[in-house]
Amino acid sequence: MANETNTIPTWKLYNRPWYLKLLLAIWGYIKNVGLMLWSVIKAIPFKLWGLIKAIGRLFYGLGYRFIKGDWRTKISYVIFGFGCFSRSPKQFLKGLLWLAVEVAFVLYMVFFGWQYLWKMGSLGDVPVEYIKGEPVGDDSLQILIYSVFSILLIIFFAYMYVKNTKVAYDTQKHVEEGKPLSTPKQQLNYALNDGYHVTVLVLPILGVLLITIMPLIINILVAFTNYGRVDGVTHYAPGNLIDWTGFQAFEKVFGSQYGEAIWNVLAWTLIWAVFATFTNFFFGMFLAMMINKKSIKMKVFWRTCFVLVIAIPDFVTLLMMSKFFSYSDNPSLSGPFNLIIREWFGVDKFNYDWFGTTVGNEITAKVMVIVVNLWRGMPFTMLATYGILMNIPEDLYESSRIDGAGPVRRFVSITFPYIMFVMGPQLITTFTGNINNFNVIFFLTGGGPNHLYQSGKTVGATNLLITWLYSLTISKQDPEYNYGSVIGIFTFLISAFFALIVFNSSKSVKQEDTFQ
Amino acid sequence: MIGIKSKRIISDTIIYVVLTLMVVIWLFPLLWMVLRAFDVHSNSSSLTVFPEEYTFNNFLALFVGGHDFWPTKFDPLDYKTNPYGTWMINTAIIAAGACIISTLMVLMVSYALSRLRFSMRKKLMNIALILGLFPGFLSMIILYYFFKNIGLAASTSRVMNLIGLILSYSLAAGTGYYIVKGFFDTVPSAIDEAARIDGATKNRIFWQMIIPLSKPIIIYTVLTTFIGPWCDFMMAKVFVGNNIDSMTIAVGLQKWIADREISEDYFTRFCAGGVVISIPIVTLYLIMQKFYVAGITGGAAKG
Repeated sequence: MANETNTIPTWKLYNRPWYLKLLLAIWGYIKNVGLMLWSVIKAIPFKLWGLIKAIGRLFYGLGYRFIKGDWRTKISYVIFGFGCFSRSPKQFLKGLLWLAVEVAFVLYMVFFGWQYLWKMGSLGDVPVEYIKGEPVGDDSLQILIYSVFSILLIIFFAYMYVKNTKVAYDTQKHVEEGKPLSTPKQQLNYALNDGYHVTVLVLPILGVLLITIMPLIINILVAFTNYGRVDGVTHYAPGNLIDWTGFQAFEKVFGSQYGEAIWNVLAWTLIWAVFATFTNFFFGMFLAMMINKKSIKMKVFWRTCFVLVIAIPDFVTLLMMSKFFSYSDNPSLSGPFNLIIREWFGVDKFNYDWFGTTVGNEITAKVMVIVVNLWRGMPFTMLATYGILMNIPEDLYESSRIDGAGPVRRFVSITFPYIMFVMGPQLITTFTGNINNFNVIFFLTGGGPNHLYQSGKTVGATNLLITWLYSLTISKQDPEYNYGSVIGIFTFLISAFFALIVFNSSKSVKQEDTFQ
Repeated sequence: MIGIKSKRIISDTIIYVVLTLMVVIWLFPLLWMVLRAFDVHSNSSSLTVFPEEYTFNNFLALFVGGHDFWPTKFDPLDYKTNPYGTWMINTAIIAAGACIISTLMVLMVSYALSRLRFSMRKKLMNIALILGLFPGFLSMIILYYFFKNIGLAASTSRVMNLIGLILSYSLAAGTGYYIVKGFFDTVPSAIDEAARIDGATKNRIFWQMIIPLSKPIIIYTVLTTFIGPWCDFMMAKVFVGNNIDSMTIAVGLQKWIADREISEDYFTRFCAGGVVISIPIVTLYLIMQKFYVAGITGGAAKG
């Protein structure tokens, strides 16, 4: 920890006014982010070249081992594990396991996979009909899902294939060099020792492939189909067929169908993310500094009061808030906040539509979601900043006090750079999190109030891309999955843009070894 | 001239006033919700801000069902369509199941990335970091159709729905290795080396040396992976659909508020339900507060 205090960037600004320092500090931060982004873009060609080289090496190795291998190794190219179980009874189990992989894959492909894979091009020809309660025909969505699943399996199988030839060749070399072959016990020991990374990582990686990566790929593919309602015609599997339609869905979303709405929604998403992130950050920071001030008593009490708000699940607090500010034409049916202003503050007949549900006051609704988000999210930043503040070495402050620095100066030169140093990368993570902050918008306004566009489409004014996606797919009477997927990809790209910055600036990846 | 001492008194007073004001603003809506949970009326709007009469009936109605006219008439038929107790059991099972699997996944991945050296290590970390930054929502719809196809979502069987939810919460948990790995990195590697010299396998080092040394971070992981599914709405909403028996608390309570036809009759019951579901989490949070502070800054300061 000690060495890090030395690396805090102070950006060479000793004799300037404090506001200039603050501005310069922020500018320095933005500049760093830009440089990081550039270095990512610069690295792409090299990465591609590396990939091509790796593929070349792969095929070279395959050929090399085939030519150098004896007949047992050569047969292993067709029958997995042959090089193992034909050589020695010690290797019998190992070889059998390899064979099992091949048999399982072939069985899957023959009895299940192929019938989906070979229909992938057309996504089926006969829509499903129910004959005596049994579905007969092609379920396009099923075809799509299982063919992607099969393709992933094929990639896995190809990997295992290469690995298998390596194992066969290595075993051959072992025999040629006169080394003893490993016994089953040694093989098990390998799994628990030198090969332990495979043992512990197999399940988590399979999980991520199945739960995250495969659905993501399918989701991207759906954007190139007409799965949904296109020009008034519905295409819902299994009752209807789905077809590949190329970039039509993209054209619809960015052009004729939602062309007006999407840029508005994107703009609001970014505005929301900026405000939600920075209001929370600054207010949370000042709150933490107030509580952390030396002469303030009952620190645990103050902290706990705010923690209470985040301790309650957010669906409870946010739904409650939506009722707290609720509005009705009839003042006596409005929520308690309007009542409080009427009764306790004596404003007669006060009845305001905070979330703009009926009047359609978009600006108030937008401000309100940011305010409620501040109520809900600030304690998080307060807690995090509080921890950082306690970590700032006291001698930094003492020496600055000896130098005659005032409280503002101390904040600008020590506290703020320190907090930014630790929280900076996290701030961008929070920003991406806010771009996809579904809960706050969904529970408070549900995306409303409606905004009517010239094309006659209505889209909720407080909708973020993510809640809009939800309302187009899950909660819609006639869902538009393909448009939803396009918006999903769009969100993905925008998140990725910011995610890359975090990823490149997170130093734990680069400096992890310095701590061991 | 104002002396340093009186200056400090003034600034402290200002801070106390600001803090008190903020605490009042922050806690007032919560106080309102807790008091309304004891209200005899059921609607969210009323003529007074706080209830005029208090009762426990809302809490009882959660578990036996009840009609919303004062005085509450208990009603088993109503409970059939709004079985809060069943929802609570579902939520507990899902959260516990997901918590166990997720914790194991996170620990295994963290150990591999922190302690083992292998060729794909850096690449895996990069992929996990990027994947972890994307919202799970994007793949949720397709995952739902996949699970529906293999009978793990929108099924008529409650057990299958619960298994589906547990798996979808926990299988991809490995990408959240970040904080735990940061902790493992601080455990001196001399411990491993000594054990290796004594002939212990890496498997043994993991289970018998690293894990016992990492109790605080394991408690932190268990708590966060439990609270996640306990508080989650989206995944449960998408996966369960309208199957009342498989709903979780979040989906059920949202139904009470969002369904315009019933929302006014269920508001105080929603408050009661919210209070009940919050009690365990608030307790966990207060216990966890110090872990939370240590976890975030520990991970970040190391970063």
